[in-house]
Amino acid sequence: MGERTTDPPGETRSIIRRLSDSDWFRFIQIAPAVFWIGLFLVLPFLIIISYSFFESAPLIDGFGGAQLTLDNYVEFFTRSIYLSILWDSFVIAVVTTVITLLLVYPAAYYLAFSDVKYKNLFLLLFILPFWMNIVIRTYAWRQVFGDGGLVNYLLGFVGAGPVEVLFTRPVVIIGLVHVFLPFMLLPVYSSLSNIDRSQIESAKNLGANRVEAFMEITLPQSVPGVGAGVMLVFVLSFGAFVVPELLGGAQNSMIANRIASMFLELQSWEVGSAVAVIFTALVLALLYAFNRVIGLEGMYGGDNA
Amino acid sequence: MSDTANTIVNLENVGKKFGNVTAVNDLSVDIREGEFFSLLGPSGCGKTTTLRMIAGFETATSGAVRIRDREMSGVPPYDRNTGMVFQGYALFPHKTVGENVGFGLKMDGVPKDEREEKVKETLELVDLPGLEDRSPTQLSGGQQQRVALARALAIEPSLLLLDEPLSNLDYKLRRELRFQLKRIQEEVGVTTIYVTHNQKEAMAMSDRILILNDGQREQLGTPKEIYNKPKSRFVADFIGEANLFDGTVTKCQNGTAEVELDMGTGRSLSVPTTDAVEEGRQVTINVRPERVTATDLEGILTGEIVSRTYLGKSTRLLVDVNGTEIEADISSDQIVGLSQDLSIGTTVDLTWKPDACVIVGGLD
Repeated sequence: MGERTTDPPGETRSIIRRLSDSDWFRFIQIAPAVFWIGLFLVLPFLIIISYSFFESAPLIDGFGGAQLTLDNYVEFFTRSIYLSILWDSFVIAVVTTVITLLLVYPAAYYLAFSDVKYKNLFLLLFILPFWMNIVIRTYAWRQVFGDGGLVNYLLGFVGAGPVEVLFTRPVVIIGLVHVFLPFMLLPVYSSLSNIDRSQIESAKNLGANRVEAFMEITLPQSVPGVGAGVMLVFVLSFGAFVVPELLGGAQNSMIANRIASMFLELQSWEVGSAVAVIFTALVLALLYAFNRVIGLEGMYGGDNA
Repeated sequence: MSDTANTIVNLENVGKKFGNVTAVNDLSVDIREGEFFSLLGPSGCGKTTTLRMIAGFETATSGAVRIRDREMSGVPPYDRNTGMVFQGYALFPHKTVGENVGFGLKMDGVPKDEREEKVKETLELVDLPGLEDRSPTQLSGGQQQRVALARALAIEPSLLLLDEPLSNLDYKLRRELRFQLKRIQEEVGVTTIYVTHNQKEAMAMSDRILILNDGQREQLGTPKEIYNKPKSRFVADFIGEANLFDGTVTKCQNGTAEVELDMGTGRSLSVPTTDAVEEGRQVTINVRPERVTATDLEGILTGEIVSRTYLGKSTRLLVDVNGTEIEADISSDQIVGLSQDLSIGTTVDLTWKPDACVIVGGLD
């Protein structure tokens, strides 16, 4: 790091100041997080990757007699069940993301641009789901959509039903939208509220009507926030586990449920690992492509410029 | 309706309230075609609100705003053909400089080639040629300010509205841009309404100044009229620096009024006046500090020097005259010719030429 010109001459700088400017102090600052990620994310994932190349895992007898193989990957691409569940999960994630965006954008716009009195209360209400246990919330949805649940109860009044709503795809999507909505709201709201209102006034002054001012000024500058929200919600719902587990049942389980059952029920760790590796690689590839096209600066609050 | 044929903006008894707060109160003024017109006042005086009503961002609660004899209520900002420069410039950070300047033309449906030509021309006008492809965020404050000006001028507005456009810049740049702004305005000839709290800027650039205080009109006039013939204590104090004396007229003859000051021990000042003044009338007198000089002879007022500040071309003295503090700017040339050294605590005689003394508010 270069010396700042406002610094006093070297000899008058305190030891603490020198210490905190030194390179090894910077390393100390970042080391715990690096250690944590390395130990608890990279290491287990390396184990999973290695499992995916063996005939049988876990390797109880050690690496000695184990044979390296690509069979687990071949199985993934030859048995249609994996590809179809991956595709279904992708579709569910896309639909969830689109619905979340459509719900959130107008609300975020309203909160960002109006001087509504209870703005912070509204924001709090939107974010409240964050702080409640996801399993509890999702079980509550079962009370709404179950056979004796609220939906069928209301349908009973108009003489319809009972219908099978629980364990259908729309219910999984409803659950996912609800759980991941705050992840869309915060970045979108943040990017919208960063837009200087006088820019919009300026656009109107220069001849833009409301719609034109929105299309030319507001919308483009909210793209980083929308991008971040879309990516967060997409990745989270693509790999969702709890919601499809509780609301999707066997027919509408998603890729994460499939991977879990391969580890836990089928005891097929090697194929489960291969699916996990493929899924992770796919998500990373999508993130990379997305970053190239839109950029993910909005995710960690980069400026709008 | 407007009084003069060349009026472009006419405000008639305009009022604006935000809830219970009155921002502008019963304001009437005509702004003439082609002039550089300043709205001047301290913050909160209603000057920006007035500008925003002309631009169409605020609606008058009472009275009428007219542009070219057309009543503006209900006319949206984008139908008013005004070009506005905002205090923070409000440049579009996601667009290039060229796209910023060409934005208004694009909204007007001007074809691309023509637009680019006009953008180039306008950037040359503001001394920023060839910056089309830069991002506004890469520019310095002064450059951003000129891009904002170019953007407002590119649409060839019938009115140029400037909301404190220089206030975010440092002193030296402000002075420089002040002249540039004035030059550009004269070159284009567009009627300009300039909002500022900086009286020096207003004095230097304006054809006429409207001074606002508490949402009300204090005085309207040329910079010279306002400086030399302030109509109220507020104006005298706000424009430049003032030494204000309250007093009573004791005699008035041969174009000179004798005013006995309230402050002292029966001290009187002679004030030139073209009007007849009745005796016993209460008046306020202003003497600008730069008109006050020190003398070795007997002065008009005598007092003790309380503080002394060296300002370069002059020295500012604060002199206590019977408990009233008077400011005097003594030029460096004059100090050389004095027998005393004007140190703090010494007594000094102050004097001024008769015409330096002005009755505030005239004698109507």
